Amino acid sequence: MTPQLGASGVAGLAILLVAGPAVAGFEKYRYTADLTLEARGVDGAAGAIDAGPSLRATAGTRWLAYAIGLDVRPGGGRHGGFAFGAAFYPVGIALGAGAPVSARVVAGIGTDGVTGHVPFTARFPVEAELELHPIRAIELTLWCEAAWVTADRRAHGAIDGIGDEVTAGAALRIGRGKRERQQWHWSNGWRVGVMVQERVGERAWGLTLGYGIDVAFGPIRYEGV
Amino acid sequence: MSARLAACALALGGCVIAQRRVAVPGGDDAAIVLASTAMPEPISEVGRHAWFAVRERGARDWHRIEYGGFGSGPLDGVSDVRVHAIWRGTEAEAGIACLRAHRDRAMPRPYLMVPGPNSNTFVDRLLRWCHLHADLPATAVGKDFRGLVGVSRTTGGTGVQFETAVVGVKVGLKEGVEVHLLSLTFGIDLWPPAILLPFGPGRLGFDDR
Repeated sequence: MTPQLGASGVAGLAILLVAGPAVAGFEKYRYTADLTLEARGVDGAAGAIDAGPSLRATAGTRWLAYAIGLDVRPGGGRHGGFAFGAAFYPVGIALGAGAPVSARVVAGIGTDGVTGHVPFTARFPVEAELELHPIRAIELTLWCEAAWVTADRRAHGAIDGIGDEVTAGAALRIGRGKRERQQWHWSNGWRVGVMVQERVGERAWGLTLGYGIDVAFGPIRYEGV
Repeated sequence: MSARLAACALALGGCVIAQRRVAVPGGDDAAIVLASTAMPEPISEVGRHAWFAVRERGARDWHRIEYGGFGSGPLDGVSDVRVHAIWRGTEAEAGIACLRAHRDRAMPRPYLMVPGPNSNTFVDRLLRWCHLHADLPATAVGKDFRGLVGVSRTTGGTGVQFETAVVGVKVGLKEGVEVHLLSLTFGIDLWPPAILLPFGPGRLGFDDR
């Protein structure tokens, strides 16, 4: 870790992740990065307990931004077996990134499965997320993911949702937050949530527990506290 | 004790029982202290910075051997400063000479905050090169950086580790088993017993010795 960069290094990292070709005149734009380290446990025959990082980043204006994401989650099946899930979301848009109310949709490609229980398959997930940030110390997240799969045994696995598999959830994060100087603010905290997953023809409930860090860099006019 | 354990389980961010006293040893003999502090916000719960504080034989003053840093005193830090190991006497004299001899070579070049090399990689290298056996906390991101692919003895001295820039594993008699995924550490420390987590002080259990 870098003492000199410290917290501002995180904002710098966010810039490196998302700035890309927008380097010229980058100070006009807003950049955000959300990192969540989370464990998830899902019940059911296809259930699993997994944990890992989830990163979402945006670059753009206050109103509209480009969004990308990355998830990596190794773990174990509830009834044995090695579980693994990963997804990369290179396509996405965000509305109001870094504001008290923001929304984000990302789409990409990934894989997941549980050895011996849920066949591994290529997945094409689309994730929508709504974040309510009334004050920096509190964040409520509502999210939903629909995914299309290539494995026949997992096709049409959602009971009545869009796509082959559907996952939705809500999480509450409570922690701290601060506006640093004029150009950036951060928040972090422990996060607990519930989720429901429909795949391989069953609906199962799950719990999530983790820690999240948000940073937003750029011309911030955060209306919250 | 059961209430304490319950509180630890609830915290899940790492709770350390029988924590080592945060103080430098008195006297004027040679001494080395391995310490770490939580990073500044917003990454205080997921990152720590480690350093050596050293005192030469016959001296009263302490000096820090580190990359970067948050202060000049031997145990100055941002918050939640912890002491992980202390060496004294002839072992410390030899250790100080070795730390000074290898300090330049251990510098992280080029510097990269995640996954490394960074200030914790610097400390990890010196621990191994100078045979100062101690473990850095799980949240000292960069401690296991070995380049794109690397194999080495552990800093604890009783195990081996195989690392890549993305995933890695550490196995040792005292170190237990650690899995490293994207610079996050998960595992079980056999002695002193603890669960290793990528949050807070990095362990849920007894303090490392």
